[in-house]
Amino acid sequence: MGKQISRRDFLKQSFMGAGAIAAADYSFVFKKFPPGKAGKEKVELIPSVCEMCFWKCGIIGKVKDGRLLKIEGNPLNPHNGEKICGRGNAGIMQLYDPDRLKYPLLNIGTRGKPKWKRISWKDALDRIAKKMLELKEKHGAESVANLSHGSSSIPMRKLLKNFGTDRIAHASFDQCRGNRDVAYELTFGVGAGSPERADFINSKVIYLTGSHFGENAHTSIVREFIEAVEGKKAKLIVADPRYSVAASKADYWLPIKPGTDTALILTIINYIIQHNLYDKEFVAKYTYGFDELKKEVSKYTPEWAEKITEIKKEMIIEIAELMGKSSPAVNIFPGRQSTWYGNDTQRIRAMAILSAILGSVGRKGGYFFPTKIKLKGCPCPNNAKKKEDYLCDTSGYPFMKTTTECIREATLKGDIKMWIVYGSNVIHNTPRPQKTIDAINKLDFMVVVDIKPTEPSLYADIILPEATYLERYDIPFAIQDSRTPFIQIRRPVVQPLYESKDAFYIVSELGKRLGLKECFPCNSMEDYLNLALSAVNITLDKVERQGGIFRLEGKPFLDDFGGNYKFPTPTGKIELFSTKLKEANKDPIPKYEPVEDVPKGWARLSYGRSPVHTFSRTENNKWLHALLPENDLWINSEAAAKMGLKDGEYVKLKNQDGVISDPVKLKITPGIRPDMVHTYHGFGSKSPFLKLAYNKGMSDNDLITKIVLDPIMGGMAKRINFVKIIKNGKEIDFPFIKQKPSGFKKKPEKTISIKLTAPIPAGSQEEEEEGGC
Amino acid sequence: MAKYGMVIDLDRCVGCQACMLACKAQWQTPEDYFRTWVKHIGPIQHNDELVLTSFVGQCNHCDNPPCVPACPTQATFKDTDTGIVLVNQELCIGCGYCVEACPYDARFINPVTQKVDKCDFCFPRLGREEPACVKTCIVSAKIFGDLEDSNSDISKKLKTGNTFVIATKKVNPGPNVYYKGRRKNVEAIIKTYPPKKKDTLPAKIWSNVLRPFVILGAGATFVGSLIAYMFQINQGEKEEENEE
Repeated sequence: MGKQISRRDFLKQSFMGAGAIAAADYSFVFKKFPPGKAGKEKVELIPSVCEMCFWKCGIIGKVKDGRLLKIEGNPLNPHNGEKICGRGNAGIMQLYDPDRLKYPLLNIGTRGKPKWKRISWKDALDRIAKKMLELKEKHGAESVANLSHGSSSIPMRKLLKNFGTDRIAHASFDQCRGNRDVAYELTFGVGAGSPERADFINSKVIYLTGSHFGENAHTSIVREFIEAVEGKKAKLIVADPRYSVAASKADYWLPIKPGTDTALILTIINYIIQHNLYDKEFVAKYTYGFDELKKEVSKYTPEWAEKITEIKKEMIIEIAELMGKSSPAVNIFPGRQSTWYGNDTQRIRAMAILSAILGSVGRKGGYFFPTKIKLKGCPCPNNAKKKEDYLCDTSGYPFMKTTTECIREATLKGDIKMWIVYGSNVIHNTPRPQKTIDAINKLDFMVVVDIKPTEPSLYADIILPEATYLERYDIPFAIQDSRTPFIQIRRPVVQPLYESKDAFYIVSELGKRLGLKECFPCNSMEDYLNLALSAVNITLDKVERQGGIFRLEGKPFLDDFGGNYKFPTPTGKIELFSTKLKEANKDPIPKYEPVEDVPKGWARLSYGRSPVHTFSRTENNKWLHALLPENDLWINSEAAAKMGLKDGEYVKLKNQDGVISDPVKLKITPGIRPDMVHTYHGFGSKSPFLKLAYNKGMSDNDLITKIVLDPIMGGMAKRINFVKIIKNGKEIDFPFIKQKPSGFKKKPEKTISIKLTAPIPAGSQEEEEEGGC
Repeated sequence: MAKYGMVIDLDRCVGCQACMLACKAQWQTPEDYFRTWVKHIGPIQHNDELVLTSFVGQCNHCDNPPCVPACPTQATFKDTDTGIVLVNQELCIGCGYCVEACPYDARFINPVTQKVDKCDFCFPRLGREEPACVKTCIVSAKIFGDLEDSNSDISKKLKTGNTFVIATKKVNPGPNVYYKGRRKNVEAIIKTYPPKKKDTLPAKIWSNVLRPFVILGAGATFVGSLIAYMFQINQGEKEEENEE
């Protein structure tokens, strides 16, 4: 993975900086182009960690005279190496975004229509602490809630638990990947991790359900995925109702009917069992409940599945056989954003079970194990009451954590009086945004800590400007979900601009005012990092001098345990039959449960990632905005023709609850099923303070107003909303276009003679023949 | 002597545009201007298959670059040591003839400098680091190197065959950026973005009629006024095109 350079080379490069252009062999460069001043002056190379998304790629900041010139990948990072994605490259424009929050602000207008007054940090923190103590006195500490996202919010969460509240929700759990982690925990005893622990490089078969690598630009996993598929020729199966980038690379593309993935997986499981294609030795040694599984899935036949999924039964059989033959090097990828239809935990349970019977858990080409890295922390006891005493009603949701919905409900009931929103755009990431706004309007007080004036800041009483990832230290990143685990340090590449401050300052200063000194007794984040790192006998200085990375030994595979691995589940085995789900009165083995069908005249709304944006966080970035200023709406060409729609024209959408969307540009394509539409999430900002992003594109979240919670972990389903098109004020129904069972197999490359308009082959004649063209 | 070129592996490319942004960060081009591009194509129907691919492109550093004879001041030249087509910013007058002449639309007038801008394979990084786009490419779809060196990665990649250049029998300036990939994708790219036959009148007059005089050493004032005149003609034509 990546070209590795030795530590010595790295340090040499760091020392020489960009002044090293004048290599002797290229002296001609300077004959023609005398080097500018920049060529001679020293450019510092500072290793840190990216946060344009949460993949934690290692970066190198090229800094001159305190100004960041360019960001590149850190070649010492075992995951991304010298590679960073478009967003990572554009991080510089987040730092120098003129619309950034610059000073603490007090709202002297109204919620939603703020008038800002600049105040000092002291004043801001005094006011916040005073309010928190007042509320604790009157209503108990749990009347303060926190909604957070990102690594820098961890110190705040610790402080709040110490203060006495556990009403802390992360969108990443209930709006994104919590179901997946719960499903994996129930099955294997450990979550699916981040990065996902897929050993793609050794896979013979990779199976994706809706995961669109490439459109998601998580650097290292996309890199390994492409290396596996294009370099090592692993067979790729993509079940996706849309012809995604991943589907365009696939050997098998299954344009599956949305909501029926579990039917397909259970059918494959049944076929593999019935035809003795499973890994018998592995199943006998490491799994629990195989006989129950066999019995339970026996009803799911390819003939049945063809009707449900609209995938040809022959193709289902072909891929099931391919998986069986390739066992154990089969990667059933769990996905990431996976709160789709409401029954998602069971879908991912089914996928985990398929991995298990193929013997691909802890095996080469399958899903490997994390390596625990234990670091030290400051003593910071959790003084919160037990959650059960005050959380919203979780009965019926056995594996629910505090969710945004819990906090919203409790706020509407009047139990919560204050929110501290930390780096999370709660208005853009949680379905039914009006409900969030209604809840905010009931609050006594709201604090927003962010780097940019996103929607929640419009409703804040006080805004605190946080330093961006390029200006601050963070808690150390122990990357456990890796074959080569490592510790990585985010450090300031430049000094914080304006009056922005890091989490350490915010939390320790707030802690002092709240009379809580246990959590952050250190003098600085550097002290805290040294304390944390002492657990592995290393200092911050040493890690920084080594390029910001400290590597540890990993034990990723079963073989690393001498074949004696005990899974951290109640039975010590992979639970095909989940004892915990049984105990909680839920199906211990997944069943296929149909989701609500698309009503006549409507289409299902689907959303996904763009490689150049992260949620609603990057739309105001000048460079990323230049590449993708607004999202478009994928709509099937046959349906569009019947509806009289043209490519590139703007329409609005109306959902089943009568909500009308922002205008959105149509992208008419045969690469999507006619019963759905698809767009990129994160656009349609309603904050006028984000001058580039404001009102650009359409917010999919505005249209997601129906709420169904996952019966196991309470995640919010987001692909159960239906839309119609509104053009020139008129509502247009979607036509019903019956889908024949399908499934596409990649055609072998053929030799075709060159026509006049065709590209001219390069190279010599012999090479042409050999290459097939 | 070297001849630098690039291979773009479309099978590996995922269209993430990291290359465009690394390039932008390296050269600080104004907002909507990029020296390199990734143009998404599809999903479209191509024959009986779906195509979803990206046209990844930049200056092709052609063997017979049409931009070179189009330049009235010899600012644009093909570097004999590297084969890289370069622009000497000090000589460039921003007339835009080369922009017009390029069959790939790989050049633009930078609105800040008022001079021509384009990919130069990151010339100042040469010999020290790979071009910014190549270094950052998350899937290693771009391979850069010396085509004359049979042991270079790029030469090895080319030897695997099935490579194409974006050229037709009518327009083939000898590009040195090569493409590898599924045939349907390459066909879709050339169908969507064919190299343009560009014999604009001012450029043609310039390169065939006037250029020899300049090279023979005609008076600078005379040449200057001619250039200004031709620039106007060119602008006029552009406006007309826009109106259509």
